[in-house]
Amino acid sequence: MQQFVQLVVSGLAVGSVYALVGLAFIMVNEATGVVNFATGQMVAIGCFLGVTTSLQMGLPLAPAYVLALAAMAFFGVVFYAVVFRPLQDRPVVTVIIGTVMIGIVIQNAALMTWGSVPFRPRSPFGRQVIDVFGAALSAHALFVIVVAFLMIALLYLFIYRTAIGARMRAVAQDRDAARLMGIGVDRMFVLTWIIAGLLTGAAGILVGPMWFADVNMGDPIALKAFAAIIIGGFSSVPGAIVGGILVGLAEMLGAAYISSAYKDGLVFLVMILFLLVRPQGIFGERIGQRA
Amino acid sequence: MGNKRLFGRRKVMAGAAAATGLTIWSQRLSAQSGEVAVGAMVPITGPFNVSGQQYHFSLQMVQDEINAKGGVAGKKLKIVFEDVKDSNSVAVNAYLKVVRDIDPPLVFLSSYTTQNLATEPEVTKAQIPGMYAGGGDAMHLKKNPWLFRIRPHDGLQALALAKHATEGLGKKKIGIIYVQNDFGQPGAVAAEKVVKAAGADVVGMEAYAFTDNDMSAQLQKLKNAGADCLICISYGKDGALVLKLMKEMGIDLPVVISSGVMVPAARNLIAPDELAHVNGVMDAYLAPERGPDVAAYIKTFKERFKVDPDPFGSCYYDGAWIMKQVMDKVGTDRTKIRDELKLVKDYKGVTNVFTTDEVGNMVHSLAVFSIKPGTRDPVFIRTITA
Repeated sequence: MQQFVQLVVSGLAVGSVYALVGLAFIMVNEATGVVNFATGQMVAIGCFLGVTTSLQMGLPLAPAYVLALAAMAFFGVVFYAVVFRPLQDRPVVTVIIGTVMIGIVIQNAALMTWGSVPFRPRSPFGRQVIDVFGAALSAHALFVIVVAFLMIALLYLFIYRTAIGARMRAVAQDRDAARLMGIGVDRMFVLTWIIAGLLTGAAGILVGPMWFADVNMGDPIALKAFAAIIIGGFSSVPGAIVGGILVGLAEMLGAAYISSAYKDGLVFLVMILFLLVRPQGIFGERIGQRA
Repeated sequence: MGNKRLFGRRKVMAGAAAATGLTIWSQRLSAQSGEVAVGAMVPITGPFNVSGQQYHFSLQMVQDEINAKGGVAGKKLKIVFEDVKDSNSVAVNAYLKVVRDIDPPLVFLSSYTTQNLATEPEVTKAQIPGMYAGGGDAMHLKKNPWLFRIRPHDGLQALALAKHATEGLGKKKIGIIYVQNDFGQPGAVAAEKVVKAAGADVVGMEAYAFTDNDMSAQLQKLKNAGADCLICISYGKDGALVLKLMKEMGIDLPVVISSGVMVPAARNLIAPDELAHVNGVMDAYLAPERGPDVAAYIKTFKERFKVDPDPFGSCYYDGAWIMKQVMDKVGTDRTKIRDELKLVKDYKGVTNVFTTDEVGNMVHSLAVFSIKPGTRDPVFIRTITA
């Protein structure tokens, strides 16, 4: 029981991060039709901005996090202006390659800025451990789960319960029709990239105290988040959440009860099975249904 | 108007080609006139850059020091750095480029075994002596006469970890956690053999991927298997994560950990109480009390680069001084350099004592450390020799 609780909490914490990053993928893809392959690097930048504000500038954690998230929102705008906007009328493949290239640029810029030696960011809970059914659970891991789900709930309300959210969904469904209806499509794109910046920034800030901050941290997280949204459904917010949690739990429970050596293989095997059997994922819609 | 652009595509390409040609020409020329240019394959960017940076710094420093003492073979030493990132193909291309561009008498190869395994056939073709720091035993098993390893091989590290856990700490139920790659997996298998030969049991062997960030499932399994001591075969950041997780999970077992975690950059990630039960091996005992040469090296390095030197990078510093000694004696003829490197015996560097064996390994001992309570400072325990 003790082991199971420990593993489930670890899996949920990891899965929550994958869900946040998965949502960043989905937001950008739904609004712009582009898979942003620099998402992992955006997570790393978010984490390092947290390092800068909390460790290097020495700010208390609350303002440090707010400042880092504000910087990530700005980063989203810059990403839109520098990468997406100039390329948006080009073929999708061109834009995707653009995101890959900018990901490499971001990673090397981070290396030049913060160096190659990892940092250990502070947690609001220090190294506090909570005893649940005899299992020693990291307070920060529980904090990650709570914050991630809070953010996802807020995002859900924003998208489905506000007028701006409705406009964003209209742009996602049909860009030209939305423009004819008087919706500022470009403004919605900017907003989408801001949200992607906030989601990846939050993911980076949350994982830093758990996994340390290093400039190469983004790709493995993005890869698992990508698997999560394939499993959950590429166009679905609930899909990202369920997919993220499933991948996180599969990693932990698979390593404990099946094989630690093949745990990543298990995750990607499930992903491949979904691609073969149910390519739209658990909650995703078939292309025909979206029309 | 469009046809009269100042910089048309053809002109730009021609200019680029000319510039490239000039670069190659000038490098070749510089290698022939008053300089000895050697290559260095360094992971400057990418996931391997933590150790790559130390390698880079060490060679920058030694280049200046050697030139201040008259260079090599009477000429100025020039080290041409190529970034090999984390890719085998990039490493091979970098090697071919440096061979083509500067025709070096010696090349410092990557500090990562997979890259060196990929490059090894090209070394054989080029017949240029190479010094390398990757620990994988697969390299010396190739018995390539042109290659010389300037730090302990992984088999020796696995031996030291297992010996210290069993003979040193007297533990009987060993759990092994290792990074699943060409470093961790053979190391774990080798450590298992030594543990069993010492009459102890291996109660579990758990792997994790190099990119993993949570090893709690593996640690929980080893604890449940009844381990009284863990051997951890890891790099720096992942090993630090293992120790952090152990503390969070309340697993108070002693840990004997590989050298990557004992370098300053990794130790600084770990809180002192997370290091309380840790013993570790290091390639070398890099401390001022070892003597004035080592003290001066550490001081100069830290003043120049604002970080402590680690043994992974520092072995290239020693390698470069060995290279100078050899070239001062036999010049820049590659075959003569190779033959002279085979004869190196009891060379005292800042990291270790170097003696070349029949498969090109030059270092044959490791240092074992504990941690001073309440600090991150290593305390030397003993040396384990092959």
